[in-house]
Amino acid sequence: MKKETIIAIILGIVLGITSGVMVVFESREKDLKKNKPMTNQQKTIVIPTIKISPILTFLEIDESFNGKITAEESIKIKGKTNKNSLIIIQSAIKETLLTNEKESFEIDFPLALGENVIRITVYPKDKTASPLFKELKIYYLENL
Amino acid sequence: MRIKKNLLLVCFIVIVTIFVLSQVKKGFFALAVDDKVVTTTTEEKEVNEIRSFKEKIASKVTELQKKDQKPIVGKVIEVKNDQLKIITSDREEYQVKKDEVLTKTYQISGNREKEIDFSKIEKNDYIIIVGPILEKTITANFIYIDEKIIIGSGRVIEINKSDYSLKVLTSEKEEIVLDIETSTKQLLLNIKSLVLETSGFSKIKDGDTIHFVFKDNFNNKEKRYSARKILIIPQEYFIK
Repeated sequence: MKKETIIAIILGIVLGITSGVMVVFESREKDLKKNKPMTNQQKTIVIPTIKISPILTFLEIDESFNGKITAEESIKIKGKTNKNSLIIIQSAIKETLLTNEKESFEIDFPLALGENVIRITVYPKDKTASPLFKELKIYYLENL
Repeated sequence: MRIKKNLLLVCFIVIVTIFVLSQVKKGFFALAVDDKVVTTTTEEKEVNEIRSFKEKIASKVTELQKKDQKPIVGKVIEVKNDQLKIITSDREEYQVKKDEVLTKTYQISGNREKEIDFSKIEKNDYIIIVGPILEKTITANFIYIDEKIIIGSGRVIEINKSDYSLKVLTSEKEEIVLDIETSTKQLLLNIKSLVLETSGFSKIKDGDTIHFVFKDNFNNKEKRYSARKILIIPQEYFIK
């Protein structure tokens, strides 16, 4: 093969590779240009932050008689919880259901002879809030 | 005639003298007796006052003690002659000693206390003890044999219609099985009127909230209990 022919072939290959690479880079740049955010349009997008305060259930019970002995047939259960809650008071001999218009509530509850376990459970009006409970023990003994 | 007159006069004087003397003596004794009566009455009054004061103090002390008194409650794990060993729910062990004179034992049954002998207390009995405590020893004044009642709540996770039982996940994250007997009191919350109504097993659904009462029969590895009472809050109540 002639010298000139070989040189022409080599130059042709080099030129072909060079132009191919250039085309690839150019097309990449074009793609990048297309995906650019439109920050230069002077529009500010405000994402509102919504603060959700969880409703906390609270339950306070007068525990002055908890664990103690009484000679009375009933006790007064006094407490405080979220307004308009469903309050269930349960023992071995009685169950009572009440709703409180105000935070504080009060109820007379009967006692059985011996150990009385009394469970007070509160279901707040907001159904997404967690229920709470407290347990009291009081001993009704006659012959002391 | 004259002698007779003199005699009469003398007799008269003697009689009058005797009479006067007797009156004087009576008066003297009366005074002395009155003094004694007054002294006795005063002393007795003081004694009675002191006695009544002592009784008032004693009953006030008892009242104050009763007010703040906390009994020790637990399961009997050992019975030996006149002594018991108990374990409380906090896993604390106590020795319980009987006093020959003071200790009284009662069995609580329904709404009555029946006095029984100390020797009737058996292992696994659940007892309430009232008396002075020194370290881990109680000298019992009163012992009451009672039942241990458990009250809890949770969610129904499985209903077995063939043997009328419910599997419950309790609020303490424990799984228990409750047998619903014919004697079980079943209540259902009416979510519209918020009134408790008598209900039946067929109305209970998976996911319902349940409040329950049963007697703890100790040593229950299966965690299966006979329910005395259940109170169901339908899951629809919690849907907004």
